Amino acid sequence: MLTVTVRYAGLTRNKAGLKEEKWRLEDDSSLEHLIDLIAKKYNWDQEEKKQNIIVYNHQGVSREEWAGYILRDQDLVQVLSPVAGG
Amino acid sequence: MFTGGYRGKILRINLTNQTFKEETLPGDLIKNYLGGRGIAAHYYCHEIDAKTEPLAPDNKLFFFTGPLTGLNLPATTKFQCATRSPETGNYLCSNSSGELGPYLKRSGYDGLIIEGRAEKPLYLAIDENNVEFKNAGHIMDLKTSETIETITREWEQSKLAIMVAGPAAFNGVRFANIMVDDRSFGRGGAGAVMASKNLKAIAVSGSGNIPVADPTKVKELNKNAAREARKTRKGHNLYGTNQYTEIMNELGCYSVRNFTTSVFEGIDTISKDYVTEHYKKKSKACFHCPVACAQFCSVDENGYFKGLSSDPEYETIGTIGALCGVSDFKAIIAGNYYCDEYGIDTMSAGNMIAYAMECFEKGIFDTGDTGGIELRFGDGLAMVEMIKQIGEKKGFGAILGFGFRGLAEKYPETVPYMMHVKWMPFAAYDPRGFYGMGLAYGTSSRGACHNVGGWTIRDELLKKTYDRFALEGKGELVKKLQDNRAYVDSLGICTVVRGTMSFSDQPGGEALSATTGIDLSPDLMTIGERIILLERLILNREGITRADDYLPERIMTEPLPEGPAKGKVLTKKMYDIMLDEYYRLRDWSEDGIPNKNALQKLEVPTCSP
Repeated sequence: MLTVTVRYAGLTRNKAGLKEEKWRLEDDSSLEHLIDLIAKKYNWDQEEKKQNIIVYNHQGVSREEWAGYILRDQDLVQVLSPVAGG
Repeated sequence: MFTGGYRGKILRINLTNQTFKEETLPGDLIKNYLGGRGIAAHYYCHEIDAKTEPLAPDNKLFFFTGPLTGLNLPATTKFQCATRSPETGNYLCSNSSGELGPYLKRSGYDGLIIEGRAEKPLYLAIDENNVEFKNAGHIMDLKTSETIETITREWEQSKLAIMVAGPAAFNGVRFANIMVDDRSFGRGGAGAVMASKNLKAIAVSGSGNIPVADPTKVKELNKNAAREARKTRKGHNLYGTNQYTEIMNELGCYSVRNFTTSVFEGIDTISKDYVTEHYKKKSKACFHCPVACAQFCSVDENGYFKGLSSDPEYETIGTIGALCGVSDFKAIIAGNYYCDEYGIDTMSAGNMIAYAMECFEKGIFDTGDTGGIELRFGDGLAMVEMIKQIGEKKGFGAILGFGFRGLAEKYPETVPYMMHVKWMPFAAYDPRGFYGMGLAYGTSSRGACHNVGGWTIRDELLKKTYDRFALEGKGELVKKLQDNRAYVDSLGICTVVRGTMSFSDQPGGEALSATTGIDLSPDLMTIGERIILLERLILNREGITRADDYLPERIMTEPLPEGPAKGKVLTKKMYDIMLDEYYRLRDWSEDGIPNKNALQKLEVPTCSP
């Protein structure tokens, strides 16, 4: 088993109702698997699944890359609502 | 031939002679520069000499709307100003919301050019083909909201919009803004230029119809775009741009204590949820905007700031707040309130005060300089007091009002603590957390600006090729964002809703063709590129070269001390990789001078001296 820290910011924080939580996952779980679990737990709609931003160990990861990232113990995943404008 | 979107006329007003005349807006200018920022830059290029002093009578104010300004489409509120900046000493482009752009268009004009200097203080009343030069002696000392109230009462027009230079402008503050209703031409000191002309305000009334090529189509597009905007910009309505505060802090690229760090320990009391729960009264909308992103806040609690109200957005919170180490949101509301009432750019004010706080803490300034004020990071009362002193040209505030360019001569030893590019203070992002933002600050046409320079953050988080700590590819990203923004700034719409009308880097919407009768979409990015080229030629003429495109020493030599971007720094060597790529893609020389090929390709003549 591995433990990953997930931090929420922006609208995803409101949806989760917390800033941070720990997720315990099977070894070799992918980032995509974790995001699926988070989306299910917090009832993300299709728009949120499409638009929310995932930052893995401080690096932005596009949606098509989620499956390729295999999580390790003590990883940090930040889940952010979309940013636009300035 | 354009059948809609434009009125075809420019109003030129000479304050020295108190005369005005109408001029035709040439069709080739529309084709090449679209409107707003592009056409304003064209007139600046041809009418402002390289030696023109910003506060001299021969400087001018060029206000231009775009083809979509004032139309029945979402957030068609924007219009542009170009002038020579008293803050930076160079070309300035600035945009504002508010209702004056739409009213100018209804009054029959696409643009307004102000030149000369009035002998006595006056304000202008523009009403469909007529201009009155009205005595402003009785309103000269009024703050901005009082000025607007007084003119509204005196002129008795039911449909009226007003822009005002506040007391700070008449006190020579180099970063005095022009308040447009309750929005502003914020950056660069256009208000000080207006005041130098003895011009207190411009009021515009107008009820004429703006022609559009296909009214039925425009109506349909408006319905769809407004629905899309309400759905996809819900966060803007609920929290405004402050929704990004905790995100930037979470990523370790926030503006904290004069950029000495990039994570803020006081984040919880300035973030969206706390502000909404404790201070927000309502969301406010600009002209014809379905989003309503302004967050109107007020202080109800007893204390120094009771009864004050304003609508602080991300950049204001990040500069008069976190950059000064201030986490008391009451002080931020108050600071924003006084900036608006005196007519001061909140972002430059925050930067000036944060710089002064760092210098005070380092012992360079002391209470003898500051008039007894302990100017330390985190002191909200001191921050607000400084804003009032800047506005009133009193005490240490009178010194800070000169901006970084003025202070560099007086206090050369403090230059390392001035966070600016081309004398324009930073926005509320630390570029060591997003390298692309560093290049955006460096190459923006008006100095360290996240809007004109390019808001790189979204792409740097979403696309691996633009990873925020990568260098290669950032030249391409920033160029693309700048070209996109330049044409959007020339359309007359707000950037928050542009996506709902497909005004992206691959423009494909129908709003412009339904408005003008001509499908300009395939040319929009080229028009944006042409505008950036023209602006660079202007800057070159004013002496700007590669040497001016660099970031402050702190960003290039001091690694961030903590947080998610800990250890990150953007050295000169790293920055050069991005800058070289950017110049190459623009076809500029190593010195940052556009090559002949670039001019020929985009059909831009050189700027005469």
